[in-house]
Amino acid sequence: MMILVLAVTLGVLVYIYALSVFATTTSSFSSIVSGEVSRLSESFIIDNVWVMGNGTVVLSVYNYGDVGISIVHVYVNDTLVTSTKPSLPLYLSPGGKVFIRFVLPVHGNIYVFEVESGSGNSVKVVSK
Amino acid sequence: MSRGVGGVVAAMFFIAVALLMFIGLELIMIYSNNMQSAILSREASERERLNERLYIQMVRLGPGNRLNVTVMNVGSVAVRIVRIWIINVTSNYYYNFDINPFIILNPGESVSNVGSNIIIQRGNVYVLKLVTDRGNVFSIRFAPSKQARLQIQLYTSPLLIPSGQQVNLLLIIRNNDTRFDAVYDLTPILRISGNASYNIIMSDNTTIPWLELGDTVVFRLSVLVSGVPGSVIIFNASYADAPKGFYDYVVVKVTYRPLPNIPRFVYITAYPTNGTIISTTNDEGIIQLAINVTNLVDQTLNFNVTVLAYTLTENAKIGLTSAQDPFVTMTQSLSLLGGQTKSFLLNFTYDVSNAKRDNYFVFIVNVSTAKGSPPVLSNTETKIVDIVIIGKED
Repeated sequence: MMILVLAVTLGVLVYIYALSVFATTTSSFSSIVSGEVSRLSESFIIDNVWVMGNGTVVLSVYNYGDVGISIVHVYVNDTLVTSTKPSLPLYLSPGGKVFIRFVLPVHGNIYVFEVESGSGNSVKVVSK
Repeated sequence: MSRGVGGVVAAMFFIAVALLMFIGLELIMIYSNNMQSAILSREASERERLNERLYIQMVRLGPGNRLNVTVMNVGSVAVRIVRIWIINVTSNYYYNFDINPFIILNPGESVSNVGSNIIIQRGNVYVLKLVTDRGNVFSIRFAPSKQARLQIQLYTSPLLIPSGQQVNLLLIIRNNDTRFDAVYDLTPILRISGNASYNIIMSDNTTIPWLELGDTVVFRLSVLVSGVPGSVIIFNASYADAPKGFYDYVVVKVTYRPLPNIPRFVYITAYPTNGTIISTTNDEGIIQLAINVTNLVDQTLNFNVTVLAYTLTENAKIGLTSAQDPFVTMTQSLSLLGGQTKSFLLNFTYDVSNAKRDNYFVFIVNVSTAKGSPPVLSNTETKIVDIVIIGKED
């Protein structure tokens, strides 16, 4: 009888441990899948770039997808820039358009502008 | 007793483990389905995005310099235009307008008067962008003709004329300035100088609102030239405010006076047997030109019939034999009794396999008296025939 009780207790403990491992794994898998699904659903473009004489740049971003996006970073030639208006991160609803202003951190002949969303998507345009 | 309890406990464990596995499998299936449907939906939207194609046919400046854009959906899916950008490249200024309600264009449909609420200034270089709800941006860069370097060719027939003879001029302007997709407000200019006098009979020098890259426009002019033998008249052709060096000219010389009672010695008719507008799906074919020449004088005359065939479309070719060129000249001799008419057919081969749409050909038939005729009758007569070959798309 004693052995049976011990075996049952051990079994329950192993089962609880397996349950916790299973819950953690499925939860992280679920978050990966939902993140990927959300990343796949995101669709946005930079539909215009306006480089002004004083070094200010205006990027026009258009979210043409069915889900909202969160714009978190803007890069120029791989250099992170700080938006002067509006501040980032910025939520852009489906169909939404926004102008992001910042000052050019570098000077050159060719600029690669990159806008990155919270889920890791990014779009690039080259301005000459 | 304890064996029975052990069996029950084991069975419960087995059921619990099986349930866990089942739930796990079910969850994996749900996630996998979600992922798959997201991938499929993304794939479908990307496919539709790639199939979206808009052709900006023309940008006109209407009354009050209001924009008038004509757009055609040349893709295989319906397109919704959601936004217009008009960028003044000259002054680095941007305007954008959200289109509300959206312009919806089904495949093959076109719409005009887009952007009529936008007023722009003539004389500047602009970039027009149309943004669709699938995230495509279709743009065109257009400039006033005064900023463009256009190819000008001036052809005249004939170059030697008796006084009182009509000269036919063909001014061909081709947009080969690759800096722009199109030019607007193209006005041809013809300056006439020299010591012979002239009278313009026919002119079609109207302003062309839009000329795409690679396209050609033809202007015609007929001038009656009079003067003493040896006098000349110079035709200098260009376009309004053209950059320096962009012109072409020809010199026409007055040779001798014709007999006043024989202003015309020959009558020409020339027409393509397969029509002036040939609708075809073939890239190569034959244009057959029927030419009739009538000797209007009461004596036998020898004639030279010269046919100049031009193709006015980039990469199109025309020829009499297998060797094909952008233009070709052909001469044939005829001897006609007084009052006699002679008919003959000429076959020209064309090749538009690498050309754009609206393949445009011009044939200039010129008849002049040849050696052996009384020199006083050495008169000329010209006939121009246009042929447009349609049906070949980009």
